[in-house]
Amino acid sequence: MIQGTARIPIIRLWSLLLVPVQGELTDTHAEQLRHDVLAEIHAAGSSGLILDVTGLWMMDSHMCAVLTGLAQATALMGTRTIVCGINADTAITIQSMGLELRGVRTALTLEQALLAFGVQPPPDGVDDPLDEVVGFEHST
Amino acid sequence: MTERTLIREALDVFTARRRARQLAVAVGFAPAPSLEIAIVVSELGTNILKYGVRGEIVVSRTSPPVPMGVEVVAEDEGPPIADIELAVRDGYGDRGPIDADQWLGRGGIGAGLGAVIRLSDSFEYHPGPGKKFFRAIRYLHTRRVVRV
Repeated sequence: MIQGTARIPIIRLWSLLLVPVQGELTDTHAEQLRHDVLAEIHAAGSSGLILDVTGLWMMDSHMCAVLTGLAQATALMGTRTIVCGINADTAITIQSMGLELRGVRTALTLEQALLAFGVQPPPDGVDDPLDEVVGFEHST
Repeated sequence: MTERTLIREALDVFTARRRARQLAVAVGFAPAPSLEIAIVVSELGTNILKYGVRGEIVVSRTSPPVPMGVEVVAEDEGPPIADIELAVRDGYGDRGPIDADQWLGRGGIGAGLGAVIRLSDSFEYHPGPGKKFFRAIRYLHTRRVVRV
């Protein structure tokens, strides 16, 4: 039996915050999430927020309101938000519902959202950056 | 094929919309329209939570002579909607426009009923003394009738 959502993680990535929105959000959860994200932005001085909605199986008008509200509150603090992970079915549905994520930037994938915030992918040929740092590969 | 869900809290809406999607798939809908039927249930269920009293959602397969499809009935004992023509407009509640600043406080952007209409082939609102209901139907093979 699936109950409401457990606590949604808020992950610090350098100067960014990554929030994988997942499960089912009640109003209470949404309010809690907004409070936690804003507090974290304040504490960490985050320069950007990524809301990854890959884990949502549906977006209704309530969820759209939660996401746009969160992005607007974040903008008040001078931090940009990018929503990523909207799949094809959801995009079509949002459009046929006549909804829009007003004022919210979107990216196809998490990688593209990170790129939009200036995060660079690792250079080619480095399979595991940790190997280089720690030097495990040549230890005998 | 009928799924009846009493709507007392948000979790009931989650249950109802999941059941609706399963039923839609069982009736033969593709994934995308099944998702849309789940959203219709979600919007109507959320409305019951916000404005209704003792409500329930009944999702069922249509039976002849109604063409094959899924019917969603959302019923509650709350007062009738003050102005249905206004309430179905995007960005409006039943008493007028909704300010963007109120979105979060209301838990919505005033697009729920408009979305239900756009995602349904047939939509009816029946205000009644002591009880009101919405009926939205999605046909496997589309035809549109909207009655407000």
